[in-house]
Amino acid sequence: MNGRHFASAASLLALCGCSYAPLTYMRTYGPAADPITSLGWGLTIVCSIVVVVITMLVLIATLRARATRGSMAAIAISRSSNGLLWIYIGTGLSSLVLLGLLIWTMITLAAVADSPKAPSLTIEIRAHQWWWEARYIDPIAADTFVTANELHIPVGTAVRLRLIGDDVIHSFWIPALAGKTDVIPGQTNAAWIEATTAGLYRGQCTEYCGLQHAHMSEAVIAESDAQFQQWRTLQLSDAASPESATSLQGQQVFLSHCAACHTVRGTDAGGILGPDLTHLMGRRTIAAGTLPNNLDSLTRWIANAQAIKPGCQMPAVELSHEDLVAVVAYVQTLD
Amino acid sequence: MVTTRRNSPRASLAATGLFIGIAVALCGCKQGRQSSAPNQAQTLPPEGALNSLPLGALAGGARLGVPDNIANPLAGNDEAIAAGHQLFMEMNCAGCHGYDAKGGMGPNLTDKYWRYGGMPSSIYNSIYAGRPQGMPAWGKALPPQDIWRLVTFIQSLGGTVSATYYQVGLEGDHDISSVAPEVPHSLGDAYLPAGVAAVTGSGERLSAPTTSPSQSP
Amino acid sequence: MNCSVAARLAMALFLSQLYVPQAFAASDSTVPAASLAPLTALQSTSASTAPNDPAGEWHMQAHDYANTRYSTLDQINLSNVGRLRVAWTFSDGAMYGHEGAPLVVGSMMYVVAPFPDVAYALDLSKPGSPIKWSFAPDPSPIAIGKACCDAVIRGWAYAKGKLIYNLLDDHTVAVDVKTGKQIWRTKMGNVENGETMTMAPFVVGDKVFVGNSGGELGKIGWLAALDVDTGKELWRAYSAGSDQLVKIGPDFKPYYDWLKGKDLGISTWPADMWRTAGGAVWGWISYDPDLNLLYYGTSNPSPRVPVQRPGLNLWSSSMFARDPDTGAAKWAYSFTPHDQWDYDGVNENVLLDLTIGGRRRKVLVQFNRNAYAYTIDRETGEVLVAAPFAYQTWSSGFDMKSATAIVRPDKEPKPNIKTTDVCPPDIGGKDWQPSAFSPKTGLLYAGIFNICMDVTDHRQSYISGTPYDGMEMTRQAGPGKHWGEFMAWDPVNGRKVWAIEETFMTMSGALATAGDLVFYGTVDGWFRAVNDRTGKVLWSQKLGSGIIAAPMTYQGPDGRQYVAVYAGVGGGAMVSKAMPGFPPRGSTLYVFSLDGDSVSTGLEMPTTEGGSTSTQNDNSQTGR
Repeated sequence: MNGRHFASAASLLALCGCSYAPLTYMRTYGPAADPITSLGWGLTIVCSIVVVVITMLVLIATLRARATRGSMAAIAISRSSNGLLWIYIGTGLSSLVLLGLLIWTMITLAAVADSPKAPSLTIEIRAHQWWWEARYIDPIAADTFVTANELHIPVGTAVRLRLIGDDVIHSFWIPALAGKTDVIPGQTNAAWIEATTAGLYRGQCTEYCGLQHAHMSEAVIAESDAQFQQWRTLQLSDAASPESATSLQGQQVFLSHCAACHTVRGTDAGGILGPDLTHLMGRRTIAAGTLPNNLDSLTRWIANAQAIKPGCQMPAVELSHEDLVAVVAYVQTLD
Repeated sequence: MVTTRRNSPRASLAATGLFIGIAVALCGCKQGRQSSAPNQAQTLPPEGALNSLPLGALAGGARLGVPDNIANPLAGNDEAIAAGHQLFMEMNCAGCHGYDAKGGMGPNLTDKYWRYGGMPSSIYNSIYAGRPQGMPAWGKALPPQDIWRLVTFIQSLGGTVSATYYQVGLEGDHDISSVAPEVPHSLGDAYLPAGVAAVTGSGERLSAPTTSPSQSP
Repeated sequence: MNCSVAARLAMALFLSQLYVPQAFAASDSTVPAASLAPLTALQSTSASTAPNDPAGEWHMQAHDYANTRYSTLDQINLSNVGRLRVAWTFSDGAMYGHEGAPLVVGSMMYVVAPFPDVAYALDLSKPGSPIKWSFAPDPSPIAIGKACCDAVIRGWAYAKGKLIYNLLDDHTVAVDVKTGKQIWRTKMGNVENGETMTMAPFVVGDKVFVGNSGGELGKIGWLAALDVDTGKELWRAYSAGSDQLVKIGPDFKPYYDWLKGKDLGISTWPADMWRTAGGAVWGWISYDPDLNLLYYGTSNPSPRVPVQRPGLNLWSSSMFARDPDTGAAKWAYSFTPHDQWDYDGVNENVLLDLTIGGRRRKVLVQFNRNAYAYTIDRETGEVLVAAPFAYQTWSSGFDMKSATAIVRPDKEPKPNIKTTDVCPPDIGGKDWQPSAFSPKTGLLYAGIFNICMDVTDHRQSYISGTPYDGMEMTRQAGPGKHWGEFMAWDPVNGRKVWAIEETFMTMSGALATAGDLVFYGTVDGWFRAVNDRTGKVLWSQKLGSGIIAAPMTYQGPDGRQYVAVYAGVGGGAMVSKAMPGFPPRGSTLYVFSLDGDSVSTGLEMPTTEGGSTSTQNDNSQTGR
């Protein structure tokens, strides 16, 4: 029975690598997290060995005790000095191992504290209930833009993150890239990430922040430098003007119903309470990872956001069917 | 070799049924969670930008957000006051009416003078449909609950008047305590139907005036 | 200045203090300057009086292109100013703040009331100064709720037989001065989106220049040129955006390197924020006919929360020199780049010729909102002098090399945190109230403020038609507890020569005359005449309401000199409305003369021979 449990545990661990576990931190892909993972594995192995060794010793001691038959008087009471030796060896080895682990931990902490190379990209992340605002900072003011929930970064580039809470304490966590950093109102926390491989890295808010804490996920998409520049140029551009009659009507609906809370650059919509929607269609999900970004979800979300994410800041807007179709058509032009 | 316990077919079916049942029950709950604000099936201001109804209520034209005499469903609700205060700042109301709501580009919201009426329903309609001297129309941008939250916040500032025409008729558009003491305040009560008490907008029962002088804003 | 001249001046100063003590005696209410430079040194400061209108008339708000607000009339002077009495008054019936000065052309006086912007022509030759005609343009009432700082009108212009002024709801209108009928009306913007117009149009030749208000509502600022005869728009230069919009071309040569570059009106703002940049043109314009350049400033950047708009935010809180024929910018300078305190740059630029560092230079002087008085070479945009004229804490000094003030980090407003004791406040060390220059003394005279603020920023959404603001402020008096001050300023050395402290704000314009007098008014309604050399108050008269308008002077058809000023508090003075003694609103023009003599005063029974009624302006009767 023991063997079977052990075998299943081991095979589950082995399966980790190939199963879809987007929030796994057992395999990481960047220098902000790799040292931690190595340390984690190292600690696991050392601790496993220690557990095995101690178990073996306990078993041996138990079995040896069982092997002794006869009366209580036959059991020796006094011990030879070999017993103390066990303690000396045990304590000494443990101390050495613990010291080694301590040094390893310190080295790891130093390695992940700050990026070894100067970050060439700074993103200011402001956590709201329940979505992430991301502002890409640039020395040239005009190259500063705002997006939401999905960050794109170039592969192999260290990215400085400035984390500020807008309302309550949240926590920013991309498990495959870095450890958790709390996002606190009134305080700017600094963190950094770097992705060594291109790919999609999902994240999650990891500090309970209210009703929809579970529906507050972020994502980091690491891509080649050329792709990143392409994405960045797109983000800096204004929204394209809608062309079809329905989407033009939808723009009017948007401006009167949505503009007080949302920004679409290039139009009169300048609200900052909700995410910037200028290039919404380039994102994989909407509502901070709650729904996939497709026509059906968009329609359901705009029709009644409270039904999907109750308590969120987006009110249930009362739109006629015609207006709903029009505004969804407009939103779909926001590439 | 890994040995796993297979789930019995019966158990998995029961689990699926349970999930479906919960989902259906939740759908039912969703219906009940509609806003409890008064009926808003009125004509909205015409399409266009936020202030597309520059002249406010059209004479004899579109019906306003709520009928007169409606009481504020959120009156006195502390959470609504706080939410209304936050909306007051986020929707730039503070920019025109002042962060203390004592006026600036727009009128003072804490005093007893109301250009377009100080009843909760008038204030609702002012916010909903806009007004001629530059008050934008928020009926499309803000859902009814949010407008009531704003009304609740404004009511908490102390300047608004009673919820119904009847009370306004008794009091006038001013604080009843500023009326000369000789006027018998119970006069109004005498004309109420039996068993009905006169109630102010904030829920208090009308009573004899206090002797404190009216405060200056 | 070389050593011998300096030695001679020092000797002169020493001797003057020994032998002529009375000349520098001050009344109890004046603050003597630390040292008084002999005024002879400053008297080489001069200004052009182009377009050289008749001396007894007043054809434009600033009196002349150089904005001197100086009159050569001297019938009222030091010896007789104590005899000034009210000759006649005129109430225009509108209760918003009165900020403009009447114009006198021939024997007619033209005034325009604040909203609803009714214009009146008063016949000065007849008893009672009757209304010859009035013109009611019926501007949209929406404008009242979109005007940040009261539904005011800051002045009107006269050109070629037309009275030209801006309506609050974004129109410019021209009225025939003979008949009072509209000649043209041009729509300049959309008032529903938060744009209004309050400034006084400025005429040069066949063109009239107008600008917008709306820096507090996220409107991008602009200056436009209209044809005086037809009202057709000839060009419009914006205060932000691409070089094409800002009309920056190959002729543009700013003096400082940090103002050179392509499309700075876009690159100094976060993505797309230049569209709601502010930089409105709601103040004064001056003109140099020799250099053929217009000078004007731009308002604060929008929103008023600086963390929302990192970057230098050009071209807000700046000034431009433009070619009036094409609008092309010749140079520009930013007084407060990345302005965090609402320090607009729209105040008047007085054009002077003076000697600095031994060289004769054509300069302009501006008392900026940020409490620095700038003397700037108006040919190149080089800052020659920058000295604080009012109490300020926002900067710790001025770097002449880059011509920027050094910002104190603890006075930078932050969202949701109260920053205390920021001086000057949003309305500045001096607001739009214009200064005057006297060529006889070489000094500039201005009403300034001594006010500080505590400010908390709140991040703002841009919602069209609503304020794009975000500054929550409380204001209080600065050191000394007085809110206002009327001062004389030496533009060569950057120094206050004398100052009169006033309890209330001094938000009126200044008037300087050849009678050695300067006139100003206070927000609680005192209108005063002052000795322009010593700062001694010689005459005061309490008027019916606070004074926030500019005074002017003219010679009536009867040959007498009159001084006229509006009393009607409002506008930016309302920031002090909680002060005990703050006056109610008013709408009256006061006209003074020696002994109050005029055709409208007398022992007989003069009657009015009116030409037109004023009831079209009567809001209370016609349900407006």
